Order: sequence, then C-alpha cells, then structure tokens
Amino acid sequence: MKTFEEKYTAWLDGALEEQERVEFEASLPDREDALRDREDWRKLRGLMRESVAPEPMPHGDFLNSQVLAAIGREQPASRPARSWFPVGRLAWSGAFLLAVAAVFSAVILPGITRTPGEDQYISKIIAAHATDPKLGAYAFAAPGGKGAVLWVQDAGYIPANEGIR
Amino acid sequence: MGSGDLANETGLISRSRNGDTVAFDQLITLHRDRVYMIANHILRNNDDALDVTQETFLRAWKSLARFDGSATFGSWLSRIASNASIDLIRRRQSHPQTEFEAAPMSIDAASRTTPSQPDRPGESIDRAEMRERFEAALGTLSPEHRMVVVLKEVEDLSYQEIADTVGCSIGTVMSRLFYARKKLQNELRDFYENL
Amino acid sequence: MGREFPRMIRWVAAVVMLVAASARADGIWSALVLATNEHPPKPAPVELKSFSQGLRTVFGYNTFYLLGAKQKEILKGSEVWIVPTKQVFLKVRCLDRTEVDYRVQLELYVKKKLVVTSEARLARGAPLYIRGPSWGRGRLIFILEVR
Repeated sequence: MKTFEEKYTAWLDGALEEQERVEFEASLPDREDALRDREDWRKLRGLMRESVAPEPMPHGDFLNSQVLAAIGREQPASRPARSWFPVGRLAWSGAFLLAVAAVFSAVILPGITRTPGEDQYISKIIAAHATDPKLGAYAFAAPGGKGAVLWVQDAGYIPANEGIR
Repeated sequence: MGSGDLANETGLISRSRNGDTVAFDQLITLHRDRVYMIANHILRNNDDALDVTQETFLRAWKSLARFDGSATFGSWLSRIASNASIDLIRRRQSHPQTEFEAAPMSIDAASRTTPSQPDRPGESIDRAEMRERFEAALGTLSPEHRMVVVLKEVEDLSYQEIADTVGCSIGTVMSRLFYARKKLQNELRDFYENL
Repeated sequence: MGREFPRMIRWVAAVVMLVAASARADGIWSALVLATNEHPPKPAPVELKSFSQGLRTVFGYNTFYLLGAKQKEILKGSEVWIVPTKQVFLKVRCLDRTEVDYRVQLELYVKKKLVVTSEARLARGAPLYIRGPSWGRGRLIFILEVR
C-alpha cells in the first residue's frame, strides 16, 4: 500500500491511474492548495532544468588512460617459473652493469651536447613516481605546448579548518 | 542504446571479464560522461567528480564478475558512482567542516568557496544568479535527497531507473522526492514567486 | 704589446664570463595557489594573471588565490624547499642547469609524507603545474617557472 508521500509524488508527476487520481484528489484536505502547489513545482522544475545541467566531462581520454594505468599497477607482476641465473652470476652481472653505467655517466654523458632545437624552451616531466600504489602521477603538456603538468591523483585532502601556512 | 549497440556492449563486457583492457577502454568511453554526470550532481565539484569517475571504473573493473545483467551495465555503473560519491562525502564529513568552508588564512575572510560548475562564458547575470540559487538550495539537501531530485528533474529518469542507480526501492525514491521537492520549494519560494 | 696582450685576454675573458652569467637562468619562481570555483569568479591576482588561462583549462577552476610565492636561484647540487607550508611542501633539488633551463628532482610532501617524486626539466618561460591535495573545497596547485 502506497504511503501519502508516494501517492503525492506520483500525483505530482502525473503517474497515477485515472481512478487513483480521482480518489487521491478527493482525499486531499485542500484540493485547490494542492493544485497550486503542483503548479509551483512545475514552474520550479522548468527553471531547475535550465540552471542545473552540469558541464560535460573534460579530459575524457585522459580519464581512460588514468584508469587503465591504475588497472595496470594493481595487476600482480608475473614472476618467472625458475631463475635462469644462479645468484652469484647475477651479482657479478649487476656489478659489471653498474660499472658500465658509471663509466658512461662520468665520461660519455658530459660530452653529449644537447641538440638545440624546438624543445629548448619547453618544460617537461622526465619521470614521475607515486610512493603509494593508491596514488597516481601522470604528466602531460600544458596548453600552449611549452609548459608541463604533473598531475598527482589522490594527493590527499586537507580539511579547511586546518591552516596551510 | 539500440540492439546492435547492446550486443556490442555485451561483447565488450565479456571480453573485459577475461582481462581485455582494450575492451574495457571502450566501455569507459561509452559510459564515462554519464558516470561523471552522476558524480557531479551529487558532489557538485568538477574535480571530485573526476576522481569519483576514475574510482567508479576501477571498482567496476574489479567487480566485473559480479555484474549479472539483471540491470543494464549503465545502471550498474551509475550505482557504483553514486556509492563512491557518497563514500567521498562521508569521508569528508569525518573532518569537521561547515557547508561553506572557512576562508584560508591569507585570503580575504569575506570570500567564500562554493562548490559547483565553473563560470560559463556568455551566461547572463540573471541566469548565473538563478544557477547560484539552485546550487545553494540543492546544497541544503542530503546527498541521497539531492541525487533523487536531480536524477528525476534534470536527467528525467524513471522511478525504476533512479532506484537502480541509487540502490533503493521505488517507494524510497518517491518518498525522498516528496521531501526534496518540499524543501526546495521552501528554499526557493521567494525566488520563483517573483519571476 | 707584451704586457697588453695578457691584459686584453683577461679583459675579454671577463666580458665573456659576464655575458655568460647574465644569459644564465636567473632562478626558479615558485608559487602555491588555491584554486576554487566561485560565483561570480574573482579576478586573478596580478602575479597569476599569465597563468590563469592555463590553470582554468587544465584544472577546471575559475578563481585563484596566491598563498605564497618566491624567486630563488638554485645552484647545481643544492636543494631548496619551495614555499614551505605546514601541510604541504615541495622540495626541489637542482641536478643540472644551463643558460636556459634547469633539470630538477622534485619531491612533493603532503602532511609530512612523501607522495610523489619526479624529475623534470624547467625551461625559461614554460611553467610547470603540479596538482596537489585538495584543501576545503579547493585544490592546491604549485607553479614553477624559470625566470
């Protein structure tokens, strides 16, 4: 059995069957007042529809990439069934690679001159890493093409009653 | 959505369940605007709505196995979005704050931050004022009441669609509508009676 | 001629160094901004006017408050705290610098917890925006720019 509120809502929306409508209106203490009320609501509804429609979502494709990146982070990394290298050989390989990297950084890299060109005046994020897997850090070019944005997702919330400075 | 689109969507859902992120990417594209709309209606803040939209699709990905087809995929996502939005509001409410936050220390104390949509170029002052009044009035409602009245009055969903989105009975939807409408009429009577 | 030549060399070298020094990046200007949506929107402070369109487009807000700003020269290998606040701060370490840009390592802390690390190149006149935590109903955003 419908409550008064449910019947009133359906009546206001024109969703009552004819018989139900007649019975409901007969049960109202002040039918004229209720009809004015309904008319008021319809006026208000029209204004609300004009005023409250939200804007379309910005950065749609960026949202997709964020979601997929988060899915990628949450999936467990696959592990090899067995190790190809014994520990000792692995340690020596690592040490050798470190030595190569050190030589490269100390000797070769400083000699590499940056190629002048259009990226000379562009800021960019080279790498970004969030410390918490629940967070995300993404980079993209700012409007105009010269600046950059480091977008930190879920960086946290500070209540307004906590001072910043 | 036509029967062709529906069949396509069913295929995408099935592939997504098997871990196909390319298929899931297409599902996101199909439904992101609606999810964002629902989150924005509840939260009335673009930034929060984007966060919740992302959260919604992440939750959906993790619980695809639980989608049994009894409601449409869009309704199922809408339900996740509304839950995620209300979760966010409840997390915020665990920190004491007033409806309009205290001004930051180095900013003029008379200024206020209000949630909602950014300025719309070309919008007349009257329309801007009207929007502001409606936003303020909607702000006096609880998220649950705000959700049903916006889904009904702005998005024109049926009672059943609202019930599927919100996760309650049709009777509850209707009684929330009753209360929300009365409250909005009281809040805005001086405004619309003078128009 | 014998004594004038070395003096001339020294003079030329001094001029070259002076020119090179003046052509170097002067420093990093940094600001902490609170972005909100207000009706009607408030005009941006003069320091943020050149950024307001970018901020609006990227982040979707219409009103910006400047919570703090400073210009600082950062030497290679040194580390500075940018616009430190109680709740959120950015640490910048200079990895390399040239006449026109800085290569920096950034660390964003929220409530004293390291949240994000990043390596970035900052070029003159090309700002870097960093989306921080939300504060109340607004969003904290760092802006870094080489000037």
